[in-house]
Amino acid sequence: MSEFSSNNFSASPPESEAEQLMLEMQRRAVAFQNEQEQEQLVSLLTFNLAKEWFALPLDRVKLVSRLTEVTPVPGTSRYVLGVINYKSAIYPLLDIHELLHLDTPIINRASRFVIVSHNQHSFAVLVDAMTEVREVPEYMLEGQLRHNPDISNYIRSEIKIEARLLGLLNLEAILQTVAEGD
Amino acid sequence: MPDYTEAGQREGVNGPVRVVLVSVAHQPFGLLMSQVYNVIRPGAQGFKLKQQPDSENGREWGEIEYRGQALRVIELARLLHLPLTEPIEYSQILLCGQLNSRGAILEPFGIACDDILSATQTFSIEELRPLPGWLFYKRLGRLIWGAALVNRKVLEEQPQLAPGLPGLGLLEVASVGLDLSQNKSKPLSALKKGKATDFKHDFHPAETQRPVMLLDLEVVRRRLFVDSK
Repeated sequence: MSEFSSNNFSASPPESEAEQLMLEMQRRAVAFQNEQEQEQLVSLLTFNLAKEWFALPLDRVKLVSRLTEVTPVPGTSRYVLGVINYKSAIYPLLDIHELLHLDTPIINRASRFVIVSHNQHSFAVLVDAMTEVREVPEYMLEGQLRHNPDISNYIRSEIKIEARLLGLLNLEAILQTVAEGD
Repeated sequence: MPDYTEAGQREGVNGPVRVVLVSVAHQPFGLLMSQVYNVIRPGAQGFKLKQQPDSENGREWGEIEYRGQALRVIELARLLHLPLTEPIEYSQILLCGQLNSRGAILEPFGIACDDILSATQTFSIEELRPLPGWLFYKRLGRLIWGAALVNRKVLEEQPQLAPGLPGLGLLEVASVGLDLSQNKSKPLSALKKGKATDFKHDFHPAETQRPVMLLDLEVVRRRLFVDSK
């Protein structure tokens, strides 16, 4: 057996400080691994709306598209820009900047349509730039760090990642306002 | 699930659907040909405007006399909450109503639109798409029952749609070598609600077909003759 085998340290009580530290590191590594195995991770697609960072669960995202022509639809709420035709499927296009009290978006080459599916409804959301896919533990999706009564309905939770706040959008509340709002 | 079948059944859901394409406030819309019986063109013989709509007093329809018969006329733009462009007397008026078994039109009424883009567009059911009711039910009821995918060329052939239309032209950032740092980004406010923006010099449209909203004129007939009673 190798002298670096873990059994080497567990068989007899540690004598040197180095041995004690190695044992502690080993214990922590095992605990960390167990914790990770037990932890449910959720994949989030993250993007920017104005200067803010938002996300949607990846399993709700059908695709991300570059911008394409928008056909206006009369009688919609002001958060609906129209419909888009993407590969012969028609999706309503929402602009939720105003809903979230954000600056009006500037359309540029970073802008994208994120097409999502929620409760049998498929629709596209205009975002200002894609960022990345993040995996976060499921328990982190419960917290709300800021309190803004005007927009808190539309943000399911907020996660602090690397000193930035990531807002997880509440599609149910957004759709409800779009359907019933002015 | 919204009921989209009512208008579709008139043409037989599996057969070809014949649609009249009209222009309202520079936007194309489709009407089922089975719900349109005639076209009264501006200046037609026997046409006389009797009264304009009076929405302030709750009367959204106007009245014309056509061949000795009084006919309620409603502007499609008014129904769709779009800007009114042509007054009734200069509009194309589509004669609609309910056809009885003897071929007579019961409860006839006119639909005023700015122009007729194409009187005979035929679509298969595969070219039609449902639209979610939450988009417009609250404001328009079931007036819009779906969308047809119309070949872009059909719409672009129409001279009145040429400058900056069809569509808002929210862009396809697909052009090779496009440099948006050179002040080519567009404020979204330019795209809001019916404002036409021409991005054609910057971007290429992605699809060859464009969705055109389909309207159910039976909803209008009920509004004029049933709901207003």
